[in-house]
Amino acid sequence: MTDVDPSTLASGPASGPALGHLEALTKDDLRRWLGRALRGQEPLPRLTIDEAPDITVARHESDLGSLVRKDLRTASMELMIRFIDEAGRATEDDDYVRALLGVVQRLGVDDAVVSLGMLAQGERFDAIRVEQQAAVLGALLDLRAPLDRSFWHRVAGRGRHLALAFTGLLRLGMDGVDVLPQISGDEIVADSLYVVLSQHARHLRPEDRNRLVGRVREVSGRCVAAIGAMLDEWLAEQEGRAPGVSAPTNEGLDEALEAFFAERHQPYERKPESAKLLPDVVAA
Amino acid sequence: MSELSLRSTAFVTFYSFKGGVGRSMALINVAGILAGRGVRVLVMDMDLEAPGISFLEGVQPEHPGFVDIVLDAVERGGQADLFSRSPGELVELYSYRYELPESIVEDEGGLLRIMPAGRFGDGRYQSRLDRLGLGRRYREGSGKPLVTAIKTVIREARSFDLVLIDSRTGFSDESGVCTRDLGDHLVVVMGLNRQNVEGTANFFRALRASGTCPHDVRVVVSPVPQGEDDLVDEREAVASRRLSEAWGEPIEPSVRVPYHPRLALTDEPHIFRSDRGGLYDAYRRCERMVLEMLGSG
Repeated sequence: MTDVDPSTLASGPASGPALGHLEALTKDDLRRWLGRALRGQEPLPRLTIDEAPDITVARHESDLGSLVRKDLRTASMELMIRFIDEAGRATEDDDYVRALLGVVQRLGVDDAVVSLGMLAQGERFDAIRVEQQAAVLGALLDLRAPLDRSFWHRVAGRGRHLALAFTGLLRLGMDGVDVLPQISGDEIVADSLYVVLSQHARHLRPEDRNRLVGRVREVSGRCVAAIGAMLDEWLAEQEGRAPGVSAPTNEGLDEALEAFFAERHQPYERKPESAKLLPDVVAA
Repeated sequence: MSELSLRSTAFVTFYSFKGGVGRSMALINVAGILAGRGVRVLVMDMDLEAPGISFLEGVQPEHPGFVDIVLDAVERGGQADLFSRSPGELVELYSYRYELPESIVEDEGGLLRIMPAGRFGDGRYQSRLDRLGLGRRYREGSGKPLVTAIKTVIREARSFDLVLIDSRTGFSDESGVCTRDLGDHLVVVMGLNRQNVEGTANFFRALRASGTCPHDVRVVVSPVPQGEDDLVDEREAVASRRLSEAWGEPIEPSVRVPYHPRLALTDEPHIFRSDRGGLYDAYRRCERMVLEMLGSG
């Protein structure tokens, strides 16, 4: 993406719509303008120097007339179809693809879901850059594309985009949890997964949330350090205790100990005491 | 098994009030000598906060250990390995064989396995230790039954004649667990300076107050510097007096382990590379001392 001219930053209230000049463009010219804008080649009234062009366009789109807004959606879809048609043949800039997918979502171009879904499930998907694959899968998740378990399992089976596959599968059930031990991510990935898990758990019924907690606990020990540590924190939060503080003794442990000693004809007495030798530190 | 004939697995705890006195080294050397002479030995690294045995050369950082057994039991209850696997399987799963050099193997019937403090390879040991919260388990009432269950299962496995426990120092939770609940016999390793003597005396006082009565208690003085014989004798006399007062019974150091600069430079058990010299002789005396404690010396 080209550098942004600071003089194009929004500086205050303007007399008309910031993108008012689009009203005068033909459909073809509008598509060409949008393509250049998403590549950072058109001056845009950005709020910050690093604001992504799709955000700027979407923010000012509502100020435009209905016809040009409809034409912007059509232009977005056409650019998307071109990207899909040329997938694997022409190399697109990653930032452009991310901006294109962003503008499609922000402008609510629902038809893009079908086309993107077909791209993701087709053979040419493997031919596009890994970063762009991730952007497409992310867009499908954001657009709530109706993709089934087998699709996300296929994604996971390729050994890439496991965090995205986890998110997709989690929406369809608990299967996503089984993907967690395969994910080799750092703290940034772990933080993203934490958000996904937390948001998902928030909408579950208590009994389903407990099942999810149980499934996560089963796999947490097999995850890489950063993700395992995140899961420990998440489990602690779900169990209502501070991270690093041990889980409360569960009834299952009591029953297991009772059965263990009963089998051996030995008494089982749960007697609170101190692990330390010093008698004056016995827990109050 | 050549010299040790026991009805059931004996548990011997090696404790020191202060770190850096050579407790773990004494333990692993004794374990190696005994295993080489036909004894089946399990070493448990119970210095959970500062594991040492778990980091000996040749250890397997991915191997699960004590913390993993207990945490699994706490979190999975009846489904946990402690309750669902056979004793033999459990011991096999949570310990690994530590190979002895051929030079020290006199009897092929011996065996040395190590149960590490826990799994380190994934960088999450500390997190698991925190989750386990052994002290809190005791305060809740499930800690001692859990430790007793682990001891029972190790005995039932019938895989070992002897379990040597490398305890945590000071008045920590783990040191209480090791000296009171896990060990049947106690070897106390101590230096001769004032910190060591007074700290160890306080430990004996606390052990006595807790009502714990190990079958046998022995003291090993380590490390003992060369060329200060008069001062060593003087300090040893002070130590004997202070420990005896604290314990309520006479206590005399059984073995002196000489200071050797290599102890500060290598983790390899001394007996693996030398079968002579003052240090080797001291570890052999420690071995005889352990056998005497078990009634087989």
